[in-house]
Amino acid sequence: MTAVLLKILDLFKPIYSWQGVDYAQLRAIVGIKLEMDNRRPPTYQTHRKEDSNATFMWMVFMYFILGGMLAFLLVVVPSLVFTYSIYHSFLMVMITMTLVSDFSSVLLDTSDNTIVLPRPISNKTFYAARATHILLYIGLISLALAIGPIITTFFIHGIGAGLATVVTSFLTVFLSVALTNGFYLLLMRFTTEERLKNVINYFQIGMAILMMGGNQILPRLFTKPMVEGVSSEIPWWSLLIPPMWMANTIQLFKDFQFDGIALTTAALALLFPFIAWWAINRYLTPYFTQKLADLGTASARGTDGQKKISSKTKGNAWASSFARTGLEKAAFNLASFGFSRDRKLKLRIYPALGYLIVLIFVFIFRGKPEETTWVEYLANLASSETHLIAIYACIYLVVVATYEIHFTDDYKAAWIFQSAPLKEPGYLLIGTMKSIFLRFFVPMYAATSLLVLVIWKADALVDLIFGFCTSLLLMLVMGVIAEKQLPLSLQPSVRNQGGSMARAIITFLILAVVGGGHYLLAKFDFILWIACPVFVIVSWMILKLFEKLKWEDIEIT
Amino acid sequence: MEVIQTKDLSKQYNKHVVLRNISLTVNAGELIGYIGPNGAGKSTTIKILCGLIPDFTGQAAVLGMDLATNAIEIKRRIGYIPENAALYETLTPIEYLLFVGQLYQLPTKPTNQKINSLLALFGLDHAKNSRMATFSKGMKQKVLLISGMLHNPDIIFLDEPLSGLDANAVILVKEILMQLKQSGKTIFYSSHIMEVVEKLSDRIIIIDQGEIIADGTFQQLTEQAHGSSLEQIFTQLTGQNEQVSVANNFVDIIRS
Repeated sequence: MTAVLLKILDLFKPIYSWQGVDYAQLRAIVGIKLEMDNRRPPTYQTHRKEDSNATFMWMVFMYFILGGMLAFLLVVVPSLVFTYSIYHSFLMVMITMTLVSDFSSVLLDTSDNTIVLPRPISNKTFYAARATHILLYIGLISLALAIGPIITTFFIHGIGAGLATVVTSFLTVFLSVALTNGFYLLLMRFTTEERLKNVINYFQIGMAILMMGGNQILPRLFTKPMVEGVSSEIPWWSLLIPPMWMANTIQLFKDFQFDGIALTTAALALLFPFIAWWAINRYLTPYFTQKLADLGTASARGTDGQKKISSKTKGNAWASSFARTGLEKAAFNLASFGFSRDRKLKLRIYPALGYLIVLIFVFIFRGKPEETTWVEYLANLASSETHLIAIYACIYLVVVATYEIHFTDDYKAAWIFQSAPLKEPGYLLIGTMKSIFLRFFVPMYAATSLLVLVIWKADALVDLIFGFCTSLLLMLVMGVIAEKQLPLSLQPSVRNQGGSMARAIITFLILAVVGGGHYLLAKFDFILWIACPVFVIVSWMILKLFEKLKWEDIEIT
Repeated sequence: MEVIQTKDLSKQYNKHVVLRNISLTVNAGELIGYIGPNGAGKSTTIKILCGLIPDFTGQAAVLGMDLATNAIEIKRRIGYIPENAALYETLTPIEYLLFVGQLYQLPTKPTNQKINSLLALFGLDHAKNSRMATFSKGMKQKVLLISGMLHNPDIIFLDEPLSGLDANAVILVKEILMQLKQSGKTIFYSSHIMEVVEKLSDRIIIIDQGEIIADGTFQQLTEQAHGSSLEQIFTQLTGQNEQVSVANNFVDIIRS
């Protein structure tokens, strides 16, 4: 694939040479960069293969499929402005998110400074290579996303609208690149390198949720009655959002009705991307090269780069109230710090949280028939037992966190557990479990409870309390069954990818059994009330078992 | 004949001065050891001389060419081996070295042969087609050595070439530096290992807080600072001779 792209690039050789760029060097750099893109695991893909040679091509294929889904939307939904604004928004979001989450490592790459710059290469060639690489990258993913919808447009709306779509798609990509660029430059201008990495981390998490939740939500848009109800008139607020300009422009070229608003939006669609680009270049770029040169140099980091963290952090306060022995507190704090500071750990856990939220909403609200109103639907819902799904879904987060807390890039630091004179390693596991329970389960369960109480009212109270006790017990039982490993002690590359699917299936089976049991008992509130204290006592006894664990019971690699 | 010459070379990052009026001369065929405490400005000096940091003040000439105007021509004739094993880890050694060869616009076929025989010589034959992400520090350092000398440069700059290497690799690198010098190359390297610098270098330059505080043969340094080993001279000149009392206090606090 890289070879094909380079062959295409060869066609432009005269232009590069004419511009004074050394084409042989440029070709070498672009070729090696594309090859590395293909080997770099995409950040949002949690189940990654270490040695893949085609991650980039795989991503392009995924985008192509997504584009196909969008093309389908264009066919089935009649309102042109509505569907095309969805298409352009989607294009914009995808390009921006990909740029921020996946391409940030390329944009902010400082390894070029030591690897390419010592070679006899002119600045012109170096920057041309960089720009060409970025253009090829964005060009390919945009093409993959847009090709389906564009071809579809030619067929269903004619040549005028088709050509307009080609232009607006290009403008949208151009605008997205400009805005992302501006976003970076703004961040780099006003924040530290460390905070920039944090922001990128949150974007990566958002991207992961979008990728996983998107295929849940997007198909559901097809059935909403609101789609057909949208009028073809251009509302005034469409003047505010770029995707609407693009959609209006396409409408304009399909119907050739030139009114004031249509012409205004078309003009905006055409001009705004260039204005944005110019403004960014004018006001923000001068700082960029300076900042990029300073990235990674110790002296530029200076004193403000080292974030000071007060010794009385939240973790400590929590630990002293929930963890009893010193060892338990240590593990509790270690796990909590991991959850709040280890970016890669966050990237592995938080998407599950987002996915869970999407799933809960989909499960609760999916079955609304079109003729009922929302009030009626919610009243009907309250008489069902659907809330049990939401209640037991929460433990999925605990399962993910429990598994992921073992892995960190700094796994070598776990020598401290073995070198310290620890007699009762079980307390380390208890502290970790308490941290997970309080950090993930309790907030998630509280939020779910709130939603359930709003819809199902006080009737669901017994279910919520019983569900809480059951989850607590379930978590401990799974802790007993699972391999006992210390927190933050294993290297991420040994994460068993095949196992993650098996783990999910087993978890859902257990949940199905437990939830099913709860469902059968739902009519007998008094049994549930009696079971609660029993479960809590059993949980407490299991906790006592953990305290007695010996080093032989714990697996160390 | 001078191959490196700087006059009042200075560099600052955001008002923080890293180098202050560095003036030094290196003659062809010399082996220079460049030492100083952490943060003294060793890497910055080397990067400036290799043309990596263009915005310095003062004058610098390498191989008789002005660094400010002729950086690319200079880069063609010098080699740079950075610290921290900075290379593209997702590539294999062959891919990486061929890429570097292309950047110097070396002819493909002979370069390919050269790379293969050099890798075989360093005992990397078995690993030449696997990704460097799994390599040890020593293996990466060997690849970097090759990448910095593939184009047969006249001057070679090495930033901490010995850090993280095992004893055998240290001996190998030392021997390579000696042989390169004997074949007429000029070598400018920085290091923390005093014994090696003392034995290997024709001339030793000590830098502290961005300024050169000593420059001469080991003999000259011993006379200037009245020490018998480079280690003694170094701690004396860089004002770090309170180490003994720090160690004393350390043990006292531990025992309290």
